[in-house]
Order: sequence, then structure tokens, then C-alpha cells
Amino acid sequence: MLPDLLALRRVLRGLGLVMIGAGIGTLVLIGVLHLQGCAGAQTVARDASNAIADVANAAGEVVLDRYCERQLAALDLTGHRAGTHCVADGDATHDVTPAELAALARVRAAWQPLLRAHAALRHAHDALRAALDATDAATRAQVPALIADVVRAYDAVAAAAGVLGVTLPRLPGADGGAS
Amino acid sequence: MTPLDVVAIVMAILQAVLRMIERGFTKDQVLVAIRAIEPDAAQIDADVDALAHPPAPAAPVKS
Repeated sequence: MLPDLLALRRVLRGLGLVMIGAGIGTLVLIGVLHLQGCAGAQTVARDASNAIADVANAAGEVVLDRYCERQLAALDLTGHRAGTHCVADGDATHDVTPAELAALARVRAAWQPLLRAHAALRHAHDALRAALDATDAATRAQVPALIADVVRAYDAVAAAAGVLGVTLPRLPGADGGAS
Repeated sequence: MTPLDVVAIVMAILQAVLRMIERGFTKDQVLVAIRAIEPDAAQIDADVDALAHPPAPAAPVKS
């Protein structure tokens, strides 16, 4: 329960909804209000969900940009994403060597954990959205824990990106610690 | 019915009304979804594959 509350507090603090130094008591209060079906707390939870989604979507764009660039670099090319496509600069129709193909395969293999982590984040967030739209109290009561799940899932995405040397935007209220 | 009962009933009614109003507010708030990146990643793979395996030049047509 406490780790859930701490993760939730990170997001809420980023939204300016929990004053720094207000302590865990504020968060407990919000959690209790939410469990009581208080819509004020539900609004806070929906704001938190949307804030996380915005950051996750921005992170997804960064992931795709770097994924394109790294694959092109494996072929000794430069380029960028254009819309949904990955486009090489200049005349890219050169003979591809076996070494370049092997490098390309390595890039794709190395990026699989990050792509999987992002998919897991999306699934966790979908579960949160479903709970936020639920009408029964039992499902709504899961919201604080589901927010914590999503925060942890985002941390996993950021960690997987870090392994690849990719820096992703931080979640609101993320201060690099467990607070 | 004691005064406490009356207070309890009034509080329950107020709470129910507040919840109905508040629920209306929260339902109006759009929930943003996280966009799937797998399709775009697959498109990137396909685009790079096209570069890695450039199509063979068309054979000259013999007249």
C-alpha cells in the first residue's frame, strides 16, 4: 500500500495537487476520499492519468525517432522519421554489407525490451482508464493501485530506454527518488 | 425519530446529490489514451528493410 501511495504522490505532486513536504497524510486523505467515491479525488486521479498519458505519448515519439535513427546508423546512413516513415538522407541505395545487416539485427534485438516495456505501459494505462470509467465502487477502489502500476511501468520504460542511451521525458513530479 | 436521525438523513441526501453532480463532472473529462507505437515501429522496420534490400534494377528490355 505504501509504495502505491508514494508513486501516486509523485504524480499528484507534479500536478501541483500535493504540496511538497505536505507528507504522506495528504495522499492518504486523497486515497481515502477516492475510496469513498469522492469525485473530487476521482478528478485528481483522471488528471493524473491524463498527465501520465501525455508524457508516455511524448516518450513514444522519442522512442520511435531514435529507433529510426539507430537502424539507419546500423546501415551507415543518416535520416529521420517523417510522419510514420523512416527516411534516409540523400541517395541511400548503396550495397548493404553482411556486417551492416548484422548490425541492423543487433539494433532491432536490443530495442525489443523497450518496445515491449512501452506496450506493457499502455496495457497498464488501459486498465487504469477502465477503472476510472467504472461505476462500481470495487473497481474504482483499485484506482490508486493502478496509478502506481502505471508509474512503475513508465519507470520500466525509462530504464529500458536508458540502457540504450535514450533519455525520455520524466513523469510529473518525478524527482529521481522514491518520494 | 431523533434529531440525530434527521441530521443523518439530510447528510445522506446531500452526499448523494453531491456524488451525482461530481460524477457528472468527472464523466465529462476526457481520458487520454497512450498511443500504441508498435505499428510505427513495424513501419520503421519495413522502411529500413527496403533500404537494406534495395530492389534489383530492372533488366534492360531487349528490342
